[in-house]
Amino acid sequence: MSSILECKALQKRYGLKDALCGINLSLEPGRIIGLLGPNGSGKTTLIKLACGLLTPTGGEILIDGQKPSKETKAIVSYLPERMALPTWMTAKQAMDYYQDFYSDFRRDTAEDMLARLGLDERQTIRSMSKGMREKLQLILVMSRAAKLYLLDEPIGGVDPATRDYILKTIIGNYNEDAAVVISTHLIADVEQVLDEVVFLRQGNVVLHRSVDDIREAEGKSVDELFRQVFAY
Amino acid sequence: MFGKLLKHEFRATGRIAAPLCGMMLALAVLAGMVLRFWGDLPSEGFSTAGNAIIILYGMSVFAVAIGIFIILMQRYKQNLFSDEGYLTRTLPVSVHELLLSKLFVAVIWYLVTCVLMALSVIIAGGLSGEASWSGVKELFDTLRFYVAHISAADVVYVMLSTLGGMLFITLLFYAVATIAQNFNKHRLLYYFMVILIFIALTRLLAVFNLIFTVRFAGPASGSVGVIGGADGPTAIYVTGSHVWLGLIELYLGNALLYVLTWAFLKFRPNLE
Repeated sequence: MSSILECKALQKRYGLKDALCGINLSLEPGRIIGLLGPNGSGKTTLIKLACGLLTPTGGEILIDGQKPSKETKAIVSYLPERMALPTWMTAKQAMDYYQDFYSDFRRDTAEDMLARLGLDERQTIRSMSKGMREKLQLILVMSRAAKLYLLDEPIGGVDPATRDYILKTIIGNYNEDAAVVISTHLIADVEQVLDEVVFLRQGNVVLHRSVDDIREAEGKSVDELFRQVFAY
Repeated sequence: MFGKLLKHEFRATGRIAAPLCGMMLALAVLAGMVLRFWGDLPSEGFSTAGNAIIILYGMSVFAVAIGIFIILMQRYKQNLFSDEGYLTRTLPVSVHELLLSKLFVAVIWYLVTCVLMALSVIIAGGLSGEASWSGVKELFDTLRFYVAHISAADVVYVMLSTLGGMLFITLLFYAVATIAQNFNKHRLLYYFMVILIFIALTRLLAVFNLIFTVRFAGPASGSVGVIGGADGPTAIYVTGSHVWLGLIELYLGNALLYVLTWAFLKFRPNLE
């Protein structure tokens, strides 16, 4: 099976500091992958490189065999770690925006999820609570039938109930032929939904294995293995 | 996709710019009415309010002229380099489409603003009474007089230089904001440094133009004239081949600024 995301000696440097140190990585479709590591390990940098928001210092990153471009952006659904929707927009205008630019946007799915949340489509994003804004952004991202979902810290900074909602939304709505990459350091919360994990430490891939393999071979949960690998 | 970008660009800028223009037109109507009934105002209180309305109208014209520019520049920066950039710059569109849509909308807004400012003057003048109407007519007579004295080439020159000037000021800001974005520390300082560099370059170009005109083009290549006489409007004009040199340089400068902005957006996206 061909890789949906491939990194070849990928390097990114900010000034004198290496954020990614020539990593090699290959992710296949149909899997939910946890991109795990402590703060500053290079998770967000890797995702931004895949989205074309940063350019590599060395090596290359390929999405479905192509360098990040207009074409790859059409098949990648990206959830940034911050609120990217203009706050003056209403939920309806935000859906219009997605529908206009992404041919794979499933409007019915988005409307259905918003209705279940009890969110008024005419409400501006500015007037929503922080949790509601994050849910709206996630709904828009997961309502696309993309080939690759890149979710940067989707459960960071939200309450446990919202965390459950977010994970259910991800599991219930992603395109099953696609790969879902979830970047987080909250391992215990996401472990249940992951097929495989990538551990990043100081810009290096220190482990890339399936979750079942970790449980069988190590006799540990991903959270336990993470604590062992990243112990100070 | 370009059409969709235009649609959303107009929506985002129009939500602030349209009320601003509407307010100016409303104040023009009020100012016109105040002027019409100026002599019949019942008390000093009304006169004070009338004065305030006229002053507010004057300020609104100024606010629209400056405000539109600020709205457009703010939109560029916010849409591409703030948190919104994470959405805008992951859209499946090319950098050319992104940049051209913003440029196109900016020029349209400049033109709409100019038309609306002129319209507000006509409205205020028209409503203020017969005397003012004659003033407006005089203004049009004057314009007709000028138009009758200038050639088609001059009209083309004026239109192209106006358009070129609009593009230049917009692209200059785009280029400066985009280049400065590449510095992660002391961004504001670099912002002003890049502006200073561009200003210095344009000054150098102006010196070159002067030298070129005096040294190579000479007086034979152009002429200076006066329109009108003792009874009519008077203006000084400059024509000739060397004025076109400035225009060519303006568009070359615009092309350079566009390429710079495009290249930095494309090859150094830097949304850290």
